[in-house]
Amino acid sequence: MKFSYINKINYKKLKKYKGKSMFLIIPITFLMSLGIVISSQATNIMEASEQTIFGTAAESGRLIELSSRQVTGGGGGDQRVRMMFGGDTEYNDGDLETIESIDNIEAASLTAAVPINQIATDDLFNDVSLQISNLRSIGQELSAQYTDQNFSYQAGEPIPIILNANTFVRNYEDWGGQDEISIEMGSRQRGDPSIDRQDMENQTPFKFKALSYDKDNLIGKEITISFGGLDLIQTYEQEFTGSGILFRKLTDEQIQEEENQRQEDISTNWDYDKISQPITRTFRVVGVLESESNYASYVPADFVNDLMEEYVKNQLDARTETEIAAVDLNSVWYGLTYDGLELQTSGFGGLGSFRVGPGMIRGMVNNEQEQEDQKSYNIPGLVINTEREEGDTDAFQQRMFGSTGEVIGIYDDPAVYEQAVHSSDTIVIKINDAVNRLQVVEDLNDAGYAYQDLNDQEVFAELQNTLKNVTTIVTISFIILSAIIIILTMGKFVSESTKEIGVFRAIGAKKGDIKQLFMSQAIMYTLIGYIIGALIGIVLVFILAKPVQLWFDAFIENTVEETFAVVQQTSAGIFTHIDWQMFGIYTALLLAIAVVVSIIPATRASRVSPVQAIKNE
Amino acid sequence: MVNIIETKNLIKKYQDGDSTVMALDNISMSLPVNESMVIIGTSGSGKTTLLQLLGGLDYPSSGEVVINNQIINKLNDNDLSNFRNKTIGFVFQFFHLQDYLTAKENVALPLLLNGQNQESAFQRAEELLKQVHMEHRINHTPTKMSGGEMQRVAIARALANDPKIIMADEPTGNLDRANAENVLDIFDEISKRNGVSVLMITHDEAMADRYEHVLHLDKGKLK
Ligand SMILES: Nc1ncnc2c1ncn2[C@@H]1O[C@H](COP(=O)(O)OP(=O)(O)O)[C@@H](O)[C@H]1O
Ligand SMILES: [Mg+2]
Repeated sequence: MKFSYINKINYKKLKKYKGKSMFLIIPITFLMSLGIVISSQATNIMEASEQTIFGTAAESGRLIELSSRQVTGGGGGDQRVRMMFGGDTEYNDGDLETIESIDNIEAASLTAAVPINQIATDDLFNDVSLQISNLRSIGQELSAQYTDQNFSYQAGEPIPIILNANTFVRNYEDWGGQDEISIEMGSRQRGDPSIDRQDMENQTPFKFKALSYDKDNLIGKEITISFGGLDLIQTYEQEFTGSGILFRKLTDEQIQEEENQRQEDISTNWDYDKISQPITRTFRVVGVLESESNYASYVPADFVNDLMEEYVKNQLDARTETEIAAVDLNSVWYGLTYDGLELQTSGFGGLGSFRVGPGMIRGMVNNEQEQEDQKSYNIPGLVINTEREEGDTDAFQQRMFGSTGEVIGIYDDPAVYEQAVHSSDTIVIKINDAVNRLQVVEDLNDAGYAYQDLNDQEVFAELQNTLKNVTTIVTISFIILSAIIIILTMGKFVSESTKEIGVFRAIGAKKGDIKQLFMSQAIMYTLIGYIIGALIGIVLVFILAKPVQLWFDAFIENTVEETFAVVQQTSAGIFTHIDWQMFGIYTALLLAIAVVVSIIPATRASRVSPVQAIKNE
Repeated sequence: MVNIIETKNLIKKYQDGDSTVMALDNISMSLPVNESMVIIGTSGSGKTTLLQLLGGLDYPSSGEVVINNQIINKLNDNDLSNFRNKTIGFVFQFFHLQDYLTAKENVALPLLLNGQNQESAFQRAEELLKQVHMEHRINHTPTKMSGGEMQRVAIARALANDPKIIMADEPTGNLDRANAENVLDIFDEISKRNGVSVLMITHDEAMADRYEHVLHLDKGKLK
């Protein structure tokens, strides 16, 4: 019989027995659509994880955050203790040069602190003016350590900023209805110091509370940040009693008096309105760090240069004609000090949560009774030029007591920040290729920079293997199941067709004809199932794109984001991709299986005796 | 050549579990060309078995079957299929038409199996359906036909390749009297017009009168 007519017969049979034919068509449809969906989404997930997990790991594998804190470990409170007792080291531009000279290091950047006291924004939390403490600069090429978004600084455009969630804290006072709170220290100092400190903080009227936030909502948000301006007027005064500290709330009149006094004092030397006006800039949040070891927020280094120039220039422009005696600098008027090499924040700005102003330090150090009443002020943008003395390099000492050099006068070059040597406890390093990480870590340690590599990428290799296995398992199941389905249903069709086969044989059909008849039927039904399944599969991939993406995001959140600060984002469209390669493989497999496997029932059919035509009559 | 059918010492045994059933026991018979024959016998006497061997549906246990001068029990499966296709036209008690095919397609089936193209096969099928007075049902499927109509289509199918012999196993067993008579009339007509031999099984003694040759079977033996 001609092949075309064999197909025609099967087509007519299909039309007549639609219900029965569905026993083969539907499972194949199901299998094919499932095959496409699973293989496509497995590939999409693999692709997405390649982009996020492996992209992140590869990118993060190129980055090293060298921190002097890592040597002694931990951050937060203990940090202050080490700082006070000189247990900490700072890296400076010299270290940066040394590190940059190491082979395979593409770039390195100090994350230098922005030396401005008042940095705040009202735009992040309702009714809260958030103080952005520990704002640091970082080079654009190193920003990948903390964000995967564009970190370039362009004048006129919103400036990228990476915020640190550790700083999302609201400070407030709680006097518990009293005007005075006294804290006894003497008796407590014998106990565990850490418990004591916590205890003491709880007793002070100065409280802080973590603010809740939604990372996804923060990313991309545009905010205005103000830099500088005068310090807030203290709303209380403190007194050291013999056994502790007494905090006393100031009345509104007292505060107003303080403010008027300050205005009067400052106005002799600076245009008061101008000096008290902060610099404001618009920023776009490009990252939110939720690290347990990093408390810094980051802005582009180029921006900090511009900002500092304007900050200093603003002060210079605000100056009146009145001369300022050198003796009043670093005693009445505080600001930054510059010894021709390093730019330092002078004095000591704080001790834990205690707000101990520079005046107190001076009082303690100078011990000059009559100066106790002399107010001192922090002038934003003021740079005090000092002499640099031999051995004047101890960063700890400088932080603690301000510059030890003689005061020369006000430094009047606005570009002082850019000229000065920067220092930081963190250097971010970019390696040319993650492959060279081991060597670089070794070289860093050889160069005296202790670094313990904690980057572990084996977990992700395992994950990728798992995903590959999914595809393999699906493919193998696909082969086995489609083979079984074809054999079983066609076997059943053959059993039910004994009479028909007998009649065909009786009227002259050869064994080969019968074989062809059933193979053609198996292939035809399989093809129909394949086409419907393929269409449904493609549609399903699109329908499932969103749920799969949601699942993937949740998965990444629970795994990768716990390991890496920055996770590379996947494009949403990735989960609508059809894996055409697997589609092709399934098509070829299904056709091959249909042809090969249908031989079994078809051969059985061809063995049906022509006697069946008249048997049992 | 005088005989269209000739058998010599035909034996057919069936293995039924441990026991052997002697369905045909040493049958030697013949039927002259252009003549027809009826096989009569009680149920289980071996009528169908004999028809199967004569029609080339099965091989004998021993003995020889010569049809149209051909020793068919020596033919291989393919040649035997060809032989059935061209030389024999089968008519069954339950008609055995394919319900997914129209009358025309059913009739054309033996021609298509023989490798003929559709056009000529369908043309021939239409002619044959006219011969059995079924021209009004050419494009109908058997599901809507009466028993008599179905049997006429089946006869047309049996005639498709101009066979030498029509073999029919109780073709009227499933028909009422009038339709049965009609089928027998058609058989007579064909055998006269086309020179086809009719070999028909029946257990109806009355029908035997219509045929010049009657073969009586009893427990696999000629009576
Ligand atoms: N395939 C078979 N296997 C075993 N016994 C069979 C088979 N076919 C027929 N027989 C036996 O052979 C004998 C003749 O059967 P059959 O030719 O069908 O008789 P009839 O058609 O005259 O009723 C019966 O006893 C029957 O049971
Ligand atoms: Mg019988």
